Amino acid sequence: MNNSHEGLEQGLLRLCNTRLRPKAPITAETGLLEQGLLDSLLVMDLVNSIEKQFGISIENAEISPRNFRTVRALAVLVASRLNGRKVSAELGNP
Amino acid sequence: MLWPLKRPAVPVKEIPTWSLYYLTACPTPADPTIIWGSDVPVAGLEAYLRRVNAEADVLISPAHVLVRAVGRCLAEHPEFNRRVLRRRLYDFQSVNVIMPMLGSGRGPEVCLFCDVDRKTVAEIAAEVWKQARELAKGTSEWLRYERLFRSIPRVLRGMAMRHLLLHTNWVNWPAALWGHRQLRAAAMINYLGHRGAPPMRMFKPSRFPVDACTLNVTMGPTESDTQAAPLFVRADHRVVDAYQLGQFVAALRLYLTEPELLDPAPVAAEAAPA
Repeated sequence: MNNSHEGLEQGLLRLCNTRLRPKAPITAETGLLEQGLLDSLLVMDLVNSIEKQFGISIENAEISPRNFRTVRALAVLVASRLNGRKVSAELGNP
Repeated sequence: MLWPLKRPAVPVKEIPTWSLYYLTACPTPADPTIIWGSDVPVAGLEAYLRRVNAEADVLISPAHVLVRAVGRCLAEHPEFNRRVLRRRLYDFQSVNVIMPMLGSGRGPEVCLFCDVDRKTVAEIAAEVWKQARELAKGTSEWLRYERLFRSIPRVLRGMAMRHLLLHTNWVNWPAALWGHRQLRAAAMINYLGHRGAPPMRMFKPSRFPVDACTLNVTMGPTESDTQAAPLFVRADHRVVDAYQLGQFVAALRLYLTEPELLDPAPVAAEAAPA
């Protein structure tokens, strides 16, 4: 895992620990769904916060259990969106 | 102190949209309302969510199961899927519900979900996420109505709303012509089981001034002691009686306790050759 991905994961951990107000600190492998840390309001709050903080857009279809199972899974999603944006910028798309 | 109130009045810009709506539109309440409170053991619901979220492509929450369960109950108890119009009762053509969701504007916005008796929980979940995202991004078509409502000058707002209510409670407007969500659904659903919500002992949802919303279903947060969530169902006594409400609540409670019953039976397995 490279430094930028670790930094991304740390940023998401900070965000989740702030927004989800867990009883015990959330780690990268904490089961967000398994432990009932997410409800529909918090998912929307988290998605909006991620979009604002990282300057990306998350598609409706990406609000899936696969992407929200853990912070690590969420980091993979955000990284893919960031990479998509970078590729898009290199190709000269807005 | 001669005058008990401070002047001037609270500025309109500080008032949430739906509060402003009630403030300008409501007559003095006469209340033909019955409420049945119950609770739902959540073990079955939690197990169901764990199972479907392990397989589904869309994230499913208790609110989505609640929408589906209400849709199924409305289809099974059609006497609830009707509204008062001109002091008569009329059946709705389809099973629709409305549900408030948080947007980017002032307070929650009410979203309409159609044909919820015929959709799967996953289809309902996808529709809920889509509308929630549109609200958050400010691209929802319903936000146009909010802007229109707020753009009416203060002196005309009350008059305009009372005129609107006269029309919506006495005229059967075509749905396509009159896009008002509240006129197209017999039930409103509140899911208030979000994290951090305090224990709910009683909840009386407010009633829209329009006569369309016969039913309100509210589910609250799970009690850690009992592992049960409160369920309050409010119905219009002009439309149904208390024993019918009891039957409806019993059916809803069953579907929320055992959500597997909401999924259609696997037809392929039944039809498979021996």
